[in-house]
Amino acid sequence: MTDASHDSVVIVGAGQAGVTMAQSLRDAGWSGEIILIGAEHGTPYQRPSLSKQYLAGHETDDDLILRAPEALERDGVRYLAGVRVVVIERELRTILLDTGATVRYSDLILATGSAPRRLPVPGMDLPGVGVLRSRDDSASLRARLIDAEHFVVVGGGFLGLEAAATAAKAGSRVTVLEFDTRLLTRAIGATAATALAELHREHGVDIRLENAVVEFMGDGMLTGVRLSDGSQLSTDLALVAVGASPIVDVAERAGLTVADGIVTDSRLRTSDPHIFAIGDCARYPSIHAAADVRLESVQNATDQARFVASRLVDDAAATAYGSVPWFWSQQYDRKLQIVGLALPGDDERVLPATRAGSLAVARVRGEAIVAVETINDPKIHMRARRLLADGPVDVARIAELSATAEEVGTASAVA
Amino acid sequence: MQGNATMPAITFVHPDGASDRVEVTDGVSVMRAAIQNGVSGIVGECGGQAMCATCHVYVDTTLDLPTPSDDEDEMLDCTACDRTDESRLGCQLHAGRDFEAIEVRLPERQV
Repeated sequence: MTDASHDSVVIVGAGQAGVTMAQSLRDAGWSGEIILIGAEHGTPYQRPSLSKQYLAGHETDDDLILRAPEALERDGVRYLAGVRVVVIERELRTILLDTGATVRYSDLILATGSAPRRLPVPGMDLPGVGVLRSRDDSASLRARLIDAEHFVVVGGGFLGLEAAATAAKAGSRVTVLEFDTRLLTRAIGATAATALAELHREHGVDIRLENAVVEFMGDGMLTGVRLSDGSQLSTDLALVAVGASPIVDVAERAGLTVADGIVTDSRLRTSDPHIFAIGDCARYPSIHAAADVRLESVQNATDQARFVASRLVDDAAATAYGSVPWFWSQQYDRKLQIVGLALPGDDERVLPATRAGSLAVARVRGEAIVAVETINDPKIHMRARRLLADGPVDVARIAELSATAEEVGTASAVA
Repeated sequence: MQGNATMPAITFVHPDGASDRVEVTDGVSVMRAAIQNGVSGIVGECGGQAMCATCHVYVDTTLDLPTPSDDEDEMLDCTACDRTDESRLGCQLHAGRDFEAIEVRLPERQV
């Protein structure tokens, strides 16, 4: 380990990736300065429950705290809240903040995250039309849901479906509009997606496929949406959940290589040797996809943060970043868990599940298992995380995932 | 870390034997109590949904705690430090509902 006492790591972004980065540096024995810069005000917070328990009103702001201020202080992390980076001066290794201050770095970590996509249609800015990314977004949606007559969710991805489930459980009338021919096209296979669609319908959610919004209507306030098939729905509350774009403006202005994300090498370094990118904003070569990917997940944010922290402390110790990606979503009483990276065209092999009412699907490309999707079957999910830890494996190993005869017996006994 | 004598209390015992005692309001989980009070040794990166197994704690088995749910049980199989009979997920143990005072021992690591 080199003497880092005169070095300064500056982290831009105080979400899950940035905060984990700061903490992991100290845990790994980093003795230099750490400066954590967040664009939002207040204590760093976690996002997973913003579409679930927090949106439902079952959690408070305190429940979202990612790292208490006293813990950051104890770790010697200087946390600057509500501050934005204006420009990175790569030659000087300094950044200029919107406070007018200049900060020097020995290594700079970009953990800038992503921002919700907006729809390029009239009425996107009407009161009653919103997106869901920040704690404020969630609190404002929660307040409006109380009196909403009809909640329309635009986008049948994880975020939209979680918000739809939260609202439907609370008794709201909910419609989900999806442009594609089914839900969750990019995320999971048809089998698990169909099971989730069925679950939403059981809870009274109206799912309309192959329909895009062409206009949010209203005079000073949302009153309806016009759809691509010419029909209209009356609504007083709409959530646009059509994906997120990486926040790359500062990186781009600094001349770093950017292509739907800040491009890094296999060790998460950008085109500048003293700048790294982690989390939602980073595009990196993945052994699990055999391609460059940009992932939006808690696991991706935290594992990448820990990887870069350990390589800054001991560069020789860190080979390529290769953690297996995993994801989860909670809708009603179902836990969807995904390991690995599948593409929409990959085959599906339904596996014997270990519990009654659960579902397990292996996604297969050629002769390789590339991903495993489970609903309410954490046992198979965990097996899959171990099996796919170092990348896709031969499909011949599919039996290692499946429920044993004994487990199947238990599952059917319960049924 | 303020409160009166009737508040539930959690004592976190670190691997080196040092301990932190925090008082919490009813309903707060062991995981949340650690994060909100800046107690190190608990990660809780899924936000308390029994998805990540990074709030692993060891608890005396003689305590009268609710048995782990199937989800907790299965997630405990993938903790970073070895599972024992005393292993629990801190996000599934709630003050007031599950205990009034509890001592939990923290593992060497969570990830």
